[in-house]
Amino acid sequence: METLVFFGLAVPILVLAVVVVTTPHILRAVVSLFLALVGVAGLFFLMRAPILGVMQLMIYAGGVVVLFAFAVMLVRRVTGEFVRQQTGLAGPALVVGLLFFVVLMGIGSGYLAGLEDEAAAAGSVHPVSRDLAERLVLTDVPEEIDPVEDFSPVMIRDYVIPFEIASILLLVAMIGAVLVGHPLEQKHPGGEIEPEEPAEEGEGA
Amino acid sequence: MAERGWLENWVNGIVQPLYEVAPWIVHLVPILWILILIVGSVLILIWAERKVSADIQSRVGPLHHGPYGLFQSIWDALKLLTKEDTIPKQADRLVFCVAPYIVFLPAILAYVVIPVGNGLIAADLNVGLWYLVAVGSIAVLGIIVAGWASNNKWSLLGGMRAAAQLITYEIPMFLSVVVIIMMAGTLSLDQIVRSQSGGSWSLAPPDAPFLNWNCFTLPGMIAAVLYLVAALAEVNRQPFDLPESESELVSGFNTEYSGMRFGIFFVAEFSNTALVSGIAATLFFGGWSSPIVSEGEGFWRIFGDGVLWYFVKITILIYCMMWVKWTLPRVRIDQMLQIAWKGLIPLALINIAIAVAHVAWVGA
Repeated sequence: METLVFFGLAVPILVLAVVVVTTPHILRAVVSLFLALVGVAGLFFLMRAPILGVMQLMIYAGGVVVLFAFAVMLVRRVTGEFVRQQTGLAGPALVVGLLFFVVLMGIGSGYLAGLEDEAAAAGSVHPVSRDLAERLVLTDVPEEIDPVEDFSPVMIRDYVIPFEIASILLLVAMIGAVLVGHPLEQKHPGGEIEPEEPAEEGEGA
Repeated sequence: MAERGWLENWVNGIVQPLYEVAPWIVHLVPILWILILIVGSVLILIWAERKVSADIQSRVGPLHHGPYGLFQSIWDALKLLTKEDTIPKQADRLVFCVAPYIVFLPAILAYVVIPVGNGLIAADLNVGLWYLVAVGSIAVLGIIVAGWASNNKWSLLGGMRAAAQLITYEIPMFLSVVVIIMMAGTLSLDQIVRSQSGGSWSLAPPDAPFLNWNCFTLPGMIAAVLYLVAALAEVNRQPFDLPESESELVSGFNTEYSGMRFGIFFVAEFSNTALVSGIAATLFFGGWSSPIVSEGEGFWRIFGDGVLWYFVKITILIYCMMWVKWTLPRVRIDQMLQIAWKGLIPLALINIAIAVAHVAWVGA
């Protein structure tokens, strides 16, 4: 069942992600990005990581994409306007993407090997290789762990200084955006706030 | 007894083997339940809206289909289903078709964590309230995109207004909910209801357990008012129906929609109305817990623990929303922004300070 749901989410996510970078319709790109991000949130829920899932929904699907749509709407008024998506750098992009994929897989498999050693050391009856997905993501979280309660001390005690510094940085960015977009300065009319707003929404991440 | 035998036969003969073959079938039960809840509440609400508006305007309302015109909504649905579905030539067809579903999506997603009765909750997430807030923030994209894809002045203006309004009113809505998290000490909606249903520690006398509800504390009371005002704006109902305002924008963001696509916007509006009432009932008015008896026994077990109180509470809340809708005129756009930024948001921030004092001195 979980495998079914996983692929039911993963395949549309990949298709939509490809649409985001290939479609010339900017509006379709926004909608596809939104649906892909909602799908990723679904994957997080499937992996029993509800905090990440909720963050994904709130910050990316509900915040960033809405601001994208809003910003794009302020800039372009009519639909059917095409934007050029290809910059002729598809080849290098592919190489970098593949490289990134390889690095990620390397880190992931290293983590898995560590888990396997750990399991072997503990004499576990469930070696990792037997049922990877089940061991790793799906049934591994004990029910009594409350991620919400574990999350708050980390956020508000252990990492409180980085958290606050990030929020001050975002506040500065916000004030800067207001200054730059102020009507007294005629140099930058309108869409100047566009790159700033998503950064502001990223606060909770 | 005959019925019980029939039911047992049915369970043993069909449900049990089905469950053994495919245990994941149990996951379909909450899905079915949520769909029934949405469709049922929408059908009743469409009829109720007509009747309440008629009552307030000294009319009779629907009469002809069924007793008291009860089947009117079914005929409405049939009409919408059989109407021609037009798509403007200049519209972005794909996005135009997807937009209504994006508006409808949060309504379905949010019902997952709403406790309708004792234990009657599709998934008791331990981040339930946060999830609700997150899900509530995605409907706005559907409205913006619907207004934009229609390629029509009125729709675009409606979409722009929706963006301004929904993003603005999310803030007081979230800030008022924070107070409840502070007082209940949990994000699980089931536990928020239980914290209001009274226990041995409760201050309220046993024959009046409703005094335990969050709306009977000072911060809870302020938060309830803030939440209900913001909720009116979030579901685009009068006096905050600026995104569709018929007298200025034809029908705003859904001007170009017809047939069942318009129907989906309609259904989304009504199911969102039921949803925000349900959330308000859960957070501030004790959810499914009974206002009369603290623990159910005998006859009262059905009503004290049951679904009935939840529906009684949301009915009252929805009636109030309709009452407001058919009584007050629409606010202007500058007034709408002023109410939020100069009224609700400062009040919500002060309310958080009040809640801190409340939790420190009175106890959670």
